[in-house]
Amino acid sequence: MRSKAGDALLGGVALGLGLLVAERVESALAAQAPPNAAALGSGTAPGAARPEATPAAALTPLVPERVASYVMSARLDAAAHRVDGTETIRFLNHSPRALSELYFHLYLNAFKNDASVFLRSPFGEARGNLRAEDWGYIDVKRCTAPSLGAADLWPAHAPGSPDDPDDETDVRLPLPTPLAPGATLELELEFSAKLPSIVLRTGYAGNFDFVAQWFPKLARLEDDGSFAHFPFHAQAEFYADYGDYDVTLDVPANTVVGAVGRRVESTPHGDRRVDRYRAEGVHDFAWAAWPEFHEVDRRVGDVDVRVLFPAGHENNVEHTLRALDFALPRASALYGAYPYSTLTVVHPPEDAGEAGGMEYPTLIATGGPWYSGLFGDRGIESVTVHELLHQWFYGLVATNEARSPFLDEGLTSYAELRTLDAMFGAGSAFDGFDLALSVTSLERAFAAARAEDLPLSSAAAAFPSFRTLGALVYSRTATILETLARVYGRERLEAALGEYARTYRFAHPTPNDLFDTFGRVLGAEARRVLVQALTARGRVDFLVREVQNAAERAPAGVFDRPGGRETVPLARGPAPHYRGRAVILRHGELELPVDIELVDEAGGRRREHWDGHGPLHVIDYRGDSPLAYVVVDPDHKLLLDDDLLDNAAAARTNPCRRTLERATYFSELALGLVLP
Amino acid sequence: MILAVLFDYAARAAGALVLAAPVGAMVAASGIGNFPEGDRLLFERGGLLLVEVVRASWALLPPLAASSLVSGVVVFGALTLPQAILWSALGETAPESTNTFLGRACARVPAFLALAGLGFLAQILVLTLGLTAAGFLHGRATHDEMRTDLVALTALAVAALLALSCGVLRDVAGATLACGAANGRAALRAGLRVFLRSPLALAARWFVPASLGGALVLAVAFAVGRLDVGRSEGFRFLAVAVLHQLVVLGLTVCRAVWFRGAVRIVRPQLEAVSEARR
Repeated sequence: MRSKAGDALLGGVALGLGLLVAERVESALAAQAPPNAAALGSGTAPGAARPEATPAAALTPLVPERVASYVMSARLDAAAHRVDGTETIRFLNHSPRALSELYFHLYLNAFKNDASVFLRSPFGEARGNLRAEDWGYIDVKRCTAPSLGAADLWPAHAPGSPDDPDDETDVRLPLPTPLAPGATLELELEFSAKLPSIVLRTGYAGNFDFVAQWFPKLARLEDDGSFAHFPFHAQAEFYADYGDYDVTLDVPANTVVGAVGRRVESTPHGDRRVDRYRAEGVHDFAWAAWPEFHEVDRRVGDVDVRVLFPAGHENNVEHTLRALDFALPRASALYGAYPYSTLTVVHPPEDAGEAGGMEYPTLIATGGPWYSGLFGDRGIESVTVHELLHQWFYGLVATNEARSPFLDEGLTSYAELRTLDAMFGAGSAFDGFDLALSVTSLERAFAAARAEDLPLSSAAAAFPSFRTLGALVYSRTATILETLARVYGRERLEAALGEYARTYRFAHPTPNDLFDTFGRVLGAEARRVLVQALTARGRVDFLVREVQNAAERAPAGVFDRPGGRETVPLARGPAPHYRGRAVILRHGELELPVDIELVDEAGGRRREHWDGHGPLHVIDYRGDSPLAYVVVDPDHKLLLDDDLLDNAAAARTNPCRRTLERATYFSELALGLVLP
Repeated sequence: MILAVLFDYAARAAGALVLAAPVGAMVAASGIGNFPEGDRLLFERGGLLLVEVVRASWALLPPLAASSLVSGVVVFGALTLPQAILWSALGETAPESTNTFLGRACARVPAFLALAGLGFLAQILVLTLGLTAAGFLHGRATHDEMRTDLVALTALAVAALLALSCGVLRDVAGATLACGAANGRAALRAGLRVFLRSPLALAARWFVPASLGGALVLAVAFAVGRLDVGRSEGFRFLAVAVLHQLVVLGLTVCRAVWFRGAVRIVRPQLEAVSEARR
């Protein structure tokens, strides 16, 4: 009871604090952030999206600029796990350059053959461990542009990555006539997508289909007129332009569908059913289909939440909804209002677990066994909160996930960490069996383990393994931000992140945009630390090198005085005062301010502050009692510190009696199990 | 009898200390003792420094486990002596001199060691088979995840029950040894006969002390959680240490009660057999 009440109290306080910060930021940016729901549905004309009132607002689209909108019609062959479809793409050249070619991503071709970049990636080191047992691919049968004539453009397509011609996930399509700046082009495509057996987000398991990255998708057109196109790498994710999606799905009548956006029509046709979904202002469309889904609907704030789950997972649904109840309003307050009217949560069956833990606009896939949370773990809450927060750091702030994965996964991991800590307190990762572990502690440990491998702002494909990517991009980014929050103030950091999320809502910011926002809100020093830590393998390790003590007594010895030689004997008994010295070193490049605590043998404590500049700091001590301990960073603000255990030095080390007692007890119990 | 129980408890505590000492040394070497709070920090909620110590000591864990295995085998063997003394005290039918008693107990050590080792190996084998079966059943995953897990769990539960039965059989064999069986093999044969003849009586004798022991462990775990040694007051550590040792003493007493129950079931049957042979 005490523990839960404490957690609730902590969570309440943190939420209150967050809301306070959010309220402050909200009022500052009120003019830029009206409710978007109405605007999203208005079908604003391309190019009219950006307001012109202020320079800051110029960066802040009230509604997304519809660069690539899709009208699709697809029929699911549930037995063959194939989707046959047509799509009409309305594409706006918002760049200042005429475009003579387009780039398409055909992500499903990652599973077409072993020559793809994806399948050449080292499996077991990527996000999942499965390799497709059944191939998946996408065939584009036709591509026409009515405004350019009736000719099929697709035969002219070529590999988009010339240095990797075997990969078919990145395709270049020359245009017969360049597309002028500001002009719009409509493309009509016919395609057939064969799903692979489930592997990383996509595919089928039994009669379950998760249909993601399944349609020919235009690469993102950058503001300079270049396309951000890349082969689909096992460690990378996606990047696309905003648009509206109008998708009609023809599925077996008994199939339950969970999809991006909201269902606007559902019409039975014999043993089939046709559902129509609309999603405005998003940059992807995915859907799951399974006849065995159970469903729970709940309204959280203004959002209709729909949870689809396998039988027996009712416990997980409770955990999921509890997490959403807490996290959705919190994230809206901190990072800007969730602008969509729906959120669909898909919990895949166990044998399709690879589809879980993934985010799409207005659709998240969770995962975990049916007994999650029963024994103190927060697995369901963690994955739910993480994928939900991607609605902001991926969905609403659409960064290039392949080029700068830390911008989506790292920021999301930090926001997740804070949300779970606010929700559960010290037991935010696990709380059971007399053991409470926080997400912060675990992320810190992962972050420290591979701190120096390579800059964590690297592209996803540059990481040698997913373990390294996870430790750096997810854990270390979160730890860096948590350290900045503890050093420069939680309110200021949340304000910085909130401003970044609001400023670049419906935009495609780069790492520099993040750094600049943090510099504006947190100051130049924090910006320097952030840039160094994120882009230059910046590390820090404070350590106490030594503690010295000496009694301060009246001088003794042989003295030649004016009146003659005098021998002063050594004073006996306790000294009236003691002198001491503590030597503190800073290893690494990051210069962070730190507190140092001096503890004397009588238990007296005093603190000193070091700005962290320079390689070493010496503290001279004088007191009535000998110096017993010196502790750097006693409040554990610097989670980035490579080694927390060298942060203290003692004149006399404490015995580890608690550890010995506990280890002895467990050994006694273990002996009881194996002996008669 | 009381002395034998206390000796068994003390020997187990000493053996446990031998096993735990390297863990304590490893943690001490991590540097946690340099903090004013010492290793109390490892028990703080959130586990920041606990995780850090685990991370720092990670590379030491495999060699520590290997050395613990060796010392575990030694301790296992050494603890057979107090076991033999306890069994001998329980099997005593008439007062005898200390020297005679100890001589009888020591003479039985090899047989008790054989029974304990055999019982342990049998339990490991049964549990391994159970785990393999559970893995096989779980590998045939269907969309009905809960059912798949429960089927696998049932296999594990059956294995655990069999392992428990192996333990009971080992103890019953120990009881026959205490009641005069000539050697380990004879004790095992006689024990198996009694086990098959009186399973319910044995189960009843075993169940009460075993349940009490389990309840004791759980109750103290709950109390220790409430005491929270992560907090600074010194009495918390002392209270937890005392509670833990009371649990171990309680478990030793429960075990002795079960052993005595087993002897009471075994003895008449053995006497009946020898009567019939006469």
